[in-house]
Amino acid sequence: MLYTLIFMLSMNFPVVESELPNGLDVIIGEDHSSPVVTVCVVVNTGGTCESPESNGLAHFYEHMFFKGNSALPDQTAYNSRMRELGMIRNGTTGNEVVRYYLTVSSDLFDEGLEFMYDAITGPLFDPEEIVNERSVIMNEYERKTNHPFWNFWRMQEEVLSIDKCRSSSIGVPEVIMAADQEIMMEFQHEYYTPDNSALIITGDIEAETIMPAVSEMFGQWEFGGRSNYADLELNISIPRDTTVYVGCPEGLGMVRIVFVGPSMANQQEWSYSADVWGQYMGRMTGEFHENLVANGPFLDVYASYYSQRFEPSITFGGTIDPELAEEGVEMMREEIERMFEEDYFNEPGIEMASEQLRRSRLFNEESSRDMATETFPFWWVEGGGLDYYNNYLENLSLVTSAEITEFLDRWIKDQPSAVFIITPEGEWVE
Amino acid sequence: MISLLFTFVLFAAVPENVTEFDLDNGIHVVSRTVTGGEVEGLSFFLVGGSRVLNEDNQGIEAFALEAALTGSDTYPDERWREIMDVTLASWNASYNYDYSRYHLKCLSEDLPLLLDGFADCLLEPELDPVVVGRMQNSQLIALQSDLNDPDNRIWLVANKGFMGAGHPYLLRPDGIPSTLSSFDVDDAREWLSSRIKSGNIVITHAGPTPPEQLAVFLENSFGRIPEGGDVFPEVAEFGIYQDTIVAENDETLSAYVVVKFKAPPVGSEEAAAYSTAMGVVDEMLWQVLRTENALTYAVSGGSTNSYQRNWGYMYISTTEPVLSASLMTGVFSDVVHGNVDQSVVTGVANNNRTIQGINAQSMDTQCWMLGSGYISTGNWRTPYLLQESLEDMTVYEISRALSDWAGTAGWGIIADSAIVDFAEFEPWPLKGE
Repeated sequence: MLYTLIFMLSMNFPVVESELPNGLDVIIGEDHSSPVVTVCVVVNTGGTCESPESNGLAHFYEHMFFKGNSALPDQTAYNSRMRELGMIRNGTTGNEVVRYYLTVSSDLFDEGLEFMYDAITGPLFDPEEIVNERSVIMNEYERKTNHPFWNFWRMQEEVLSIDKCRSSSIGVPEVIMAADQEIMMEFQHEYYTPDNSALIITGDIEAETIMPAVSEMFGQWEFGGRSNYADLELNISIPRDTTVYVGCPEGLGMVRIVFVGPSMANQQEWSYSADVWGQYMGRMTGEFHENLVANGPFLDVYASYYSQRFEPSITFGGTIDPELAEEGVEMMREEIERMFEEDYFNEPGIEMASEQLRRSRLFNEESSRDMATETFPFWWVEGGGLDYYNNYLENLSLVTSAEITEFLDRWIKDQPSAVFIITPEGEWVE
Repeated sequence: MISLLFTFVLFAAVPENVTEFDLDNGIHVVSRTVTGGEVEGLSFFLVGGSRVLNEDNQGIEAFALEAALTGSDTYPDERWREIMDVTLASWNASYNYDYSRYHLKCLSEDLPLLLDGFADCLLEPELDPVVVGRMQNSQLIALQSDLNDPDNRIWLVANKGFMGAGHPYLLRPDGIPSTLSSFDVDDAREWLSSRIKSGNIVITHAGPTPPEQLAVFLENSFGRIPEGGDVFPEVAEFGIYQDTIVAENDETLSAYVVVKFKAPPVGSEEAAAYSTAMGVVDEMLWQVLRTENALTYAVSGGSTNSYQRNWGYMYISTTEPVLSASLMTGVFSDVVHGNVDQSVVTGVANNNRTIQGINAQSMDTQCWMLGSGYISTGNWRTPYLLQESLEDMTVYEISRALSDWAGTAGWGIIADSAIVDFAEFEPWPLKGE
């Protein structure tokens, strides 16, 4: 048998997951609502795999994916082939995941699949194209520095990260300008292997019909076994209570209180109570909103757990008049204290939060293209496969108020936090 | 009495299962039935946009609608928040030159309740000054945040030279800080009372609820809206008679450049050729500015095709705005003069076909297409027919359309004068003359 098939539960369309002998996870969703198909390759890599010497290379690699490869000699040929196929494509590099995706008419599925295979397995890293791309990426970097929250992003890396470079996927100019073919090939050798990746296909196709072709083509991708992704250390630490005043343009004001959260890599069991807790807190009729917005100084507030393997965090935040920011922090701290009172969490509210998460999933599943490019890649990486996603709703429904209290006792009570007060009066990062 | 008119489909790109009907008060509804899911999309369009605004009340409609949506007499603030909690429905607002749009995303089972609540908010708004004041501050912060980002602001800078003094599209539907901060609940009440009339409203829907049932839900909710409506003056041509340039100094590492020029009216014979031409310009800008010259991360070209007055545009962010602008006009001139391979033209049609397929998966986009088509031409099919017309376009057709329409241009630049020499800026002629 060339591959094994596991049928997954999905609400709007059938999904099958399988694994090829070379370790590649293949996820196929059948959605016949429109005659297009989306092919996505997701790789366990990103900024978190970088050192100070390689800070920005995961992102640089993503740019080179759209250049010449073994089938298409340069970017001009690459672009020309995209036009022939009417292909809409993109790629993104995050701290913990890199994704490449394309959408074509379903009658061009074979061609689209082959295009993806050539691009992912045979990039040329032509030195001339690399030199050109340095300038392109520098412009992307410069654009980011113009963003009103650039200052905050940098300060957040500074305060929360153990290794700053692992939190900044855009990288630093020195590394971007020094990228060359050899470095790109090293990156490919380590991370761009089937056992460190997943192939996701959704759209107007039949899983049973396309699986042999998928298996034959992507089965040729050579097993690697070299990725250190699973062994990477946690990259968030808040050793003591810290308050940072961050500058931002006129007219803006924000407050954030951040705690370290449970890692999706090895503390996944906490994530269900964390998600239900976040949803509970976000209810517009809940005490948190009532006390801080309806009867408080904030314009909006949220509390959430960010499901990450290496930089998991729990954040309380809100928008506020800059002049009231310090007062807002105090009130938010008081509200955090109140969470530990006996009746703060009740079962009807927890049921509502759990139901909201179910609905949220239904809304997310509206577009199978979004599933291929957003939902499945995220959960495949953070959940370590799609079992987590598959069993997610059932596990949420089991969360009790006692478990939420346990979660708060473990992750928030007496734990150090980092407070960010973001106002025009704050400090500016040079 | 509700009458349902079923549409017969003649073109492959034009969707099936679309139904049009009017409520008793005359509100026109276009519904596309999409079976197989539980997610509904419904858009409420309030027609008017910049045409009903003046210098002193820019943003009033955005303010009034957001204020209304904080609660009504029957659904006061807390009750309304509870409904939003229980349903997890979302309302997304957008305000543009020709209309305001509120889009509802919800599950089928919640549709009647949410429609009733929404209509009640429009007709009997609670307008609690404290709640509305908080909403107003949020609006101001969002607006300021947008204006702080040169990547957003550059489009407005280009408008100054392109649209001509006094043009209604210079008025900002989402407001400017000075006007937005001046409104109060009385302004909102007055505005809603004058604008919420059946003749100003169009509703579009995409989702599993069948039209017969949708009609009942809408009659029970929006059927209460009084008859009447505004008469809108024709939007004037953009008053640009010579190439212009407006430059703004800002401490940015990357400069931003946008140029705008006239485009044909929606539904006109040349609209498809022009749209394809700008698709070709987009492809070639990428090839020349990014692939060959590595001058930028972000470059694009395109055109609007659903407003009363439309425009083509080119955009770039770069540290070399002068060289980039010169190359951009070179690309434009090549397309005008037909120096383009037919394969690029065909590629644009191929891409559009795929985009059409992607759009079909989104109820939100379907609602927008149905509504913008109906509002701009009286025919919801217009955006879909435009897609049909892109097939088989020739180099000759696209170069002629671009040549006919694109003459004088309005340039906008944001750059740091400490890095870039402003004396080198000039309104580069589009056709390279």
